[in-house]
Amino acid sequence: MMNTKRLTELSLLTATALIVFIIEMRLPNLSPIEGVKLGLANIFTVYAVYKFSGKEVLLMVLTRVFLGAVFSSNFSALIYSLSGALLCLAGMILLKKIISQKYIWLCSIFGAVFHNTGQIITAVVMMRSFSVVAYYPILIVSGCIAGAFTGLVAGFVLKRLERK
Amino acid sequence: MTKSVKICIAVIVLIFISALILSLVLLQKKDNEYISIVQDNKVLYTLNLNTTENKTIRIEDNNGGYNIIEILDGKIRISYADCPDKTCVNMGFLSSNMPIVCLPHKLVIKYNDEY
Repeated sequence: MMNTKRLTELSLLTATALIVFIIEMRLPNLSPIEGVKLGLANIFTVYAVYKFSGKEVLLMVLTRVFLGAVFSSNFSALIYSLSGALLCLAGMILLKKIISQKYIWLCSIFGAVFHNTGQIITAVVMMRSFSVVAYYPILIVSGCIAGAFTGLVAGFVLKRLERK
Repeated sequence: MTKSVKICIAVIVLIFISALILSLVLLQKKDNEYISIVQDNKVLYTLNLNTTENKTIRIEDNNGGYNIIEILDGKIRISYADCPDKTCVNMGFLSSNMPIVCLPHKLVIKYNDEY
């Protein structure tokens, strides 16, 4: 049973992640290539992986992905965000066991790689074509950079909140 | 730094460098004549861009969505799509091994080695 304080914290995190997601959506694309983006909302996922239990983060991520699809009214992209987010989460929860909080950025980079892997696998299945695999390397490169950034930010947030 | 963290760093550096090299190879300019337009794993058109005159092709998917493909002076691009994100339109003309992909309509435009 989840206590009210944790539930409130999770809801607050989800809401903030959604706001950041919507703001990022309004910014012009960094690159014309689908999937190359900062993924700022993942700061909250990475943070939550180190702060909450796997089940709690799963709830938070599912809520964010579904509401994100509602707010962006882009339901055709839902299966891609969902597969990416779930694989990313599974990978990070496993890696958390061997990567300490000090190296949270490393876990986040792996999360990004898992995220892109999930999306590419979904794309191959959906399109019934391997031509989308040509995007995989560039997604990994941009994902590593974006993942390092979101991971560092999540690390700073964790440090600041611990001090209180 | 624990041993497992060191291994993780080594793995990610290896992944990053190989992905970087691969993307540079894939992004190299290509000037091939032959392209194919594929939807849902079915080849709809194979064209020789140098001999095809300027025209637009409308391609519909099973759910009523569509893309407009434009061939202009030996180059090809998607000039309009009725999906919300317009990623394929923003990609511009086909110029490398990176195919133009429209995920919602399962459409791919890519270079072919032969006709």
